[in-house]
Amino acid sequence: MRDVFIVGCAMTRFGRMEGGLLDLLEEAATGAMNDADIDEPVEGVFVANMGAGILNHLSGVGSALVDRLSLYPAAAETIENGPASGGSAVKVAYYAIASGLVDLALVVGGEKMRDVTGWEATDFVATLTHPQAEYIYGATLPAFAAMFARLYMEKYGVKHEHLAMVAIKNHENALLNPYAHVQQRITMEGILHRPEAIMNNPPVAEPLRLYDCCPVSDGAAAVVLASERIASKAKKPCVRIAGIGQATDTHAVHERKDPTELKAVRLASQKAFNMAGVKPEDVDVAELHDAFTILEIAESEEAGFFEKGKGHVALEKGETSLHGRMPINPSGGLKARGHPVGATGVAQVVELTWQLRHEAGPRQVDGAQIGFSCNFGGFGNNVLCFVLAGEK
Amino acid sequence: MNNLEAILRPPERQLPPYPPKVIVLASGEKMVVREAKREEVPTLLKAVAPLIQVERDFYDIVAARTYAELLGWLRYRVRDEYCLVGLIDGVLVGLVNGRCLSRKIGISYHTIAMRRGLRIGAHLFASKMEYHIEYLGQQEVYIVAESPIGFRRWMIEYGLEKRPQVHHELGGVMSWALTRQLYFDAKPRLVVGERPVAEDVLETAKTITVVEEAVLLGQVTGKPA
Amino acid sequence: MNKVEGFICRSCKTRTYPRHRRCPTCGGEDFESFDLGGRVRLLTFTRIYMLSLAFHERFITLGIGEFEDGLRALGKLLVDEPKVGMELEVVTGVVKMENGIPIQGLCFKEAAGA
Repeated sequence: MRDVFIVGCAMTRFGRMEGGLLDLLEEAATGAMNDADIDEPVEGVFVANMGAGILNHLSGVGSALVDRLSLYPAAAETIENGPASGGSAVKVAYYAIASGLVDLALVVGGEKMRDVTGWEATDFVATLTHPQAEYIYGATLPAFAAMFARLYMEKYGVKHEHLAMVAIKNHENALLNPYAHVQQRITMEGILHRPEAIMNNPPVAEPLRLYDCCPVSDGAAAVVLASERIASKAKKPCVRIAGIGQATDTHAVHERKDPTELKAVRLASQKAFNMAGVKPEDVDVAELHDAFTILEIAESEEAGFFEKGKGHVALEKGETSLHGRMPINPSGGLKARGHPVGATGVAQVVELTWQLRHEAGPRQVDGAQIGFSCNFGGFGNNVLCFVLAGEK
Repeated sequence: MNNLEAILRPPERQLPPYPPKVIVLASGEKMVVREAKREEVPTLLKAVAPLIQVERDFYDIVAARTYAELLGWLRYRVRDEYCLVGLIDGVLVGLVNGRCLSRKIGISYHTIAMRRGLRIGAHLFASKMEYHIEYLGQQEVYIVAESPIGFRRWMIEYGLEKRPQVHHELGGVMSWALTRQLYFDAKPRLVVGERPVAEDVLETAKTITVVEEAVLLGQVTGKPA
Repeated sequence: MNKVEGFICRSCKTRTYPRHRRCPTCGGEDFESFDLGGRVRLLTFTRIYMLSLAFHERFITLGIGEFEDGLRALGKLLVDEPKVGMELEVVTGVVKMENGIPIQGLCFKEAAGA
């Protein structure tokens, strides 16, 4: 297998954006290609998108993007893997280059979710639950996170304050990220301790409240991947995809043996670390899939950064803060950067690329060399993890 | 007042006051909710006018109608109207208005949030219901919604009752009503804030400041100013 | 009222719900179906306030019930104050209205004598 490098990256601002899905994809793609500034033909275009068919009445997004960018006759496809579509697209592009079939590939992830109302968006995301055993009951993604949180909090002594700390930290980080959807400082007092918190931060799915959940966002992110032959000509420092891991789990959440475990996260992380030949303690910066605050804590343990049940303790000590021992979600994470589902897995890789190129500005993690990302599909039934290494 | 003006001007009663309250928002900022005075309406109109151009989330229709309602109040053309404002350090972040159809029945007009993401609209709507039920002592408030956000939020969160026979003055759709019972059932989870407001905090809310138009538009559309 | 079916693998006797074409335990493809019923212990639950399109209530309550042999199922909770570990009776009932048509599914109610 050949080495694969990230030679360019870009993203749109996340939030509630004007224009259509293709406009967002186009903006991110152009940004990444300009960032790469490589005068070679793009041979493969991999577009991650979960819901254009449902949300935007659009299909064939990959082909449409090739046309917008006049990249013909590049091979193109749209890749759908729920909220892990972005991770999947990066992985498939990796396969293409590592195998030797392609030398230069463009990966773009995007979603335009704010064209529909909040409850239509909730319903759209819920379509990834089990149709007969979950969806018909009105089960939503927050509901699964909530049922998980109830057990997890009880088992490991995680308090609501810990969940709020994740939100507060990620909102703070997002204030340093001009691409982030949510640009709003929040306080423990305002979201939890004051009597007004009942209204400021109402329950979404008990025990999870509004500020435990990511917003519904529009946005796109893109990376350009290249073989060593092309990467050697790159003008900017390259980032190597050192490890990829992916694992699946049962579709119906109730069928998992341990309801306080995110097994696919653990397996995917282990695979990624093994492939990269590094350990969790070698990681300098991580982007985790905090669609819900509890997930950042649980994933930080399943990935091996902290002992099981101790993630909230590390959080409390500030270890996961921007200048802590193990900074998590310097971008603001899904919680505050936003979560345009198809874009997220790519956006995580974009953030890590900036971090490893030391271009992250005020949210730069000092001297970051190894980055890790976790892109969580379904309620953990399809997870992709990446280990990235900064190098020329 | 000349005779013709006396004919055009509806009779009006002095409505009971809404005692100001302070709400600590998610951001930790303190929002004072207080009555607006009639002479402050021109300032409010300055903030409402630019929103008439904002199509997103029905701001245009809500702002256009609120503008007319406030102007009607200022010029003595609407009977028994009031307006509550939300102020953070004196800066206007939202307003709600309504009026009394009779001593027993209130009419909810509109809710406008001028900063988003902090549930300012929800807090102000709750304050409006608090005014009708607790301070005006009304039996029920008639409500309709123009935006899906409003419909979902008010009708479902408060569990409003249908009033198919009522023609709400904002339009032809079926009216909904908040009864005293529904209000007091919802109050513990929807109506918040502290009274009395500390003197120094109240002082900050004495005069209403309106942010620049570009900033205001950025705040409601999410696009940077 | 239609019952909700679980499946017993004829080779390894594992009970599964929902249906799989291949048994997750032994890979067997021959199943016998049975009606999900009887009693469960409440494993976890949530009250959902931000609901999907078809739900117009202020909230719905869902939980995962565990049968004695460890088989689990998600269902609608018909209990005002659910508690983890409580014993519940499995019944079938309306879990959703879809364009005016009632959709049946698993519901959990307080077990008599529990």
